[in-house]
Amino acid sequence: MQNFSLRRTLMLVRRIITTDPQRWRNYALLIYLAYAIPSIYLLNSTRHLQPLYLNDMLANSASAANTISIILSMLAASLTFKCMNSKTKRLDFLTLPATHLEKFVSLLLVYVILFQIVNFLAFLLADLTQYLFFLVQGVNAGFMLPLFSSNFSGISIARDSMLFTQGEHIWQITLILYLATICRIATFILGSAIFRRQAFVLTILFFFVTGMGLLTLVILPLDDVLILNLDFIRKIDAGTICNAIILAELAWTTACCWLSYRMFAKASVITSKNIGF
Amino acid sequence: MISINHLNFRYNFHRPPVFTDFSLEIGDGQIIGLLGKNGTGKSTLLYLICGLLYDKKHSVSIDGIPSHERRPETLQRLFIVPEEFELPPISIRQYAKTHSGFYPNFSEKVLEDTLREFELSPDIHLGSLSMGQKKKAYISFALAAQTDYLLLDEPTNGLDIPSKSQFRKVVASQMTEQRTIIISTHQVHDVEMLTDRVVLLAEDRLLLDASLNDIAERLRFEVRPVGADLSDALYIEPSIAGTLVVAPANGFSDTTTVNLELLFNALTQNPEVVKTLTQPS
Repeated sequence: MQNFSLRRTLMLVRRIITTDPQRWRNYALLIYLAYAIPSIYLLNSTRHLQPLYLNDMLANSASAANTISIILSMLAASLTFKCMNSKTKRLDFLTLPATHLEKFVSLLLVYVILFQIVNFLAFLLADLTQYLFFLVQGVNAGFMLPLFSSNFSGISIARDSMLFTQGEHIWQITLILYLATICRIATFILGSAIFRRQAFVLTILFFFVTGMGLLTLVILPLDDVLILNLDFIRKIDAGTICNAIILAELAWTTACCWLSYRMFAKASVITSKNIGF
Repeated sequence: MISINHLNFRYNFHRPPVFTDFSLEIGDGQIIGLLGKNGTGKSTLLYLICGLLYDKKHSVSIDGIPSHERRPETLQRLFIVPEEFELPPISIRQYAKTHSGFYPNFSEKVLEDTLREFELSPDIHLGSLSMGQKKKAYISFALAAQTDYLLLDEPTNGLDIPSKSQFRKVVASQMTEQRTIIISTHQVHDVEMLTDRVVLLAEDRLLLDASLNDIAERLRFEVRPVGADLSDALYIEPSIAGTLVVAPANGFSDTTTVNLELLFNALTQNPEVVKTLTQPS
């Protein structure tokens, strides 16, 4: 492996951001509005239910924010290889004096890590906006951190489910939930590498179709087998199931990242119009 | 040195090969005119040198390092100005600030001097420039990067007449013994005075690879009056001034200036011209 230069990687990150600052400002504004508008709308439309249903209102708003966050992170990941979606962009990016790994890492730093930071800051700003909005009107909706509460809500659902004893495997389930987010992002990074244009929509369609195909061709025919062996399945240790899920998520994430990297490293300036290989 | 050894390349099986058993070596300190008809592979050759395209056997290397690896140490020594390119919506100064760090030999002075020659300000916004101005700005950065290999694909397309003269001046002024510049162009008159070697591509092969001095020693490029003897001519072209003639030099003590456009037409239409150039002297 060629020497990895952090300095060059950071220069690449700087280049990605500073060569089109207006675009990044627009992204930040859109993210902020994506949180602020639904939050204010949902709270405002149910404020007459206060204080009896305040917790429900906040939970709804939190769910909405969590859903928006998930969609935005997938959208950002699907933009990872935007720099490769035209001949001139490929020529420009591929001839930059940096290793393939440095270029790949710089894209991940921008579209995954930096995006999450901007996402979080935009959410905080939107949350402050809704708080001030209601404060001005004499309604105190209160500060909240719906992302965290939603995650804990997910854990509580898992904890109460039939398959898990209460309180056990909490950290495995937490890890499963967070790895699920990383899996989603990795999937859309791979989608961005495969589909030159409309990567977000095409990735969803591709995996939806593939998922339906797997369901029809593999899982449904095994339905009878699963029912006959339900007692056996119920006896499998919950921790084992959690570990298996964690391993599957890690394997999927690794596979997506490795495939994306390989496709990028092997890319040439002239490719098929719509597919990235 | 750029080495291309027995290159076989095609885009896909539905299209004819671009190169078949193509070999070429390009040393240091030359300005090479890369000529050829449309579709003969001029841009493809430049992309292969940069590692933007590659064949299965990895036949292209720069100083022994295969181009397809796209190593930073190779890319730092190479800069391509393609025929079509995009520039971000920032000023030239900001562009240089963002990109200069990738090229260890980048010279701010060369950038300023070249921009001054092209009558461009470093603070001008790239998004507000015309295509020709963008090309001048990009060429300025390319020259300021001071790479060992500079590849220019149709650099004078979109440039007005004064700009073409400025282009020749800045390229000539930035030429060094260590530097190699490859100019792929149809506008042969724009680069005639710059080139000292000509590589001519035809279909899937190398038709000619010769220095202008060698060509001038073996061929004469003359304008003969109407009615003059043309029996020794390898190629003729009527013109308003008379008959443009390419003929063997045949021991003439003086040499004539090579007319690249005439040479190109002669080479592509008369195989005898190639024989005259390639036979031992």
